Amino acid sequence: MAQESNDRIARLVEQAKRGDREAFSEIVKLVMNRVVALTYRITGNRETALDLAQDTLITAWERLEQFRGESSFLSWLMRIATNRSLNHLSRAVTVREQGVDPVTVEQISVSTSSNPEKELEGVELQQSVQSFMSKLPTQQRIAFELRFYQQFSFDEIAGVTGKALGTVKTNYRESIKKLRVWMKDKGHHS
Amino acid sequence: MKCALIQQELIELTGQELSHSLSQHLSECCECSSFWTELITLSDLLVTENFELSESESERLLQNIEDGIALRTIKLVNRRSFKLTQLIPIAASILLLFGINRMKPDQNRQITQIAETTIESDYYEPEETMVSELLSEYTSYRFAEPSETLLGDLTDDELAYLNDNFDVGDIL
Repeated sequence: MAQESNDRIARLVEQAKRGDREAFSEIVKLVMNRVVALTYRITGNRETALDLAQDTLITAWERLEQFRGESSFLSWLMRIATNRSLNHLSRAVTVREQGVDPVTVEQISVSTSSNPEKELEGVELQQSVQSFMSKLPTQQRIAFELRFYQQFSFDEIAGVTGKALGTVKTNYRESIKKLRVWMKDKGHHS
Repeated sequence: MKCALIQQELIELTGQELSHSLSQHLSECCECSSFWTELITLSDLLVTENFELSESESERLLQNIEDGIALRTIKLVNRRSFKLTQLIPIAASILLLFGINRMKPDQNRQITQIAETTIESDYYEPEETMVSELLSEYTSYRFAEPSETLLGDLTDDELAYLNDNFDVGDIL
């Protein structure tokens, strides 16, 4: 399924490289959620994440000719998104100052459900996870997002972040270890 | 020691599929098996936190990207045409300068060649007898009756003016 999606993106990239803007719009539709997820995981703010994703995808269109296909298009895109987000962080905003993103909570609370109690529990859990994740060091958050949620290989993450393979693996392991401790503290047991 | 390494590998595989050899080990090792179960629980917990854009966010983002690309394309075209309008006169000036500089020596060389050829082809020394013959023929033909020749060239007004003011016989 993932391979099928990658092949489709690769075909669309070839079309987009020839100036086909509709093909690029298709790519945007396929990848934008993943790009925003990464920028959100790094910055911790939904609006900022959307702005950074927008900037990333427009930059990708502008630099499409520079994409030589040595990595997957998604990895290349994530590299741009990571650099943009880290630059943004280094300029001003820190995740810790922002805390829980109110948009996320608002979005979940307006959704309809047949089981409001369970949903509330889910909202609280989600807030709690997000709050804890925002406290992880940036490189661990990136490694976690790309590995756990986006199913990137460690090699790909190393390519995206420009870090050594060993460093990437360590970052991922550290994030998991901390999340395990958090889970036990919160009383979530197997 | 072996379990410590395996658990490190299991952490790296959180949220992923296990290899056959690891599954084999888990079926034989309670400690590692319980460790993996814990990681699965964590994984299930974190999956609920997966990021999803709302429909309105997706639409807004898509629209902003379309607009952004359109704007950048216009800017790029303007920048290119601006560069062209600036570059054309500069390029023309350079061509002109180089053209003139490159043509000058050629032209000079051509002029020199033409001059040399002309001098060479025009210069020849006629024989003395031939010169004498030509002179005699020309004199006999052109100046046989010099007065006629001269008077013949004058207009009636000029002739009347000469008659009134000069003694033509004395002049001739």
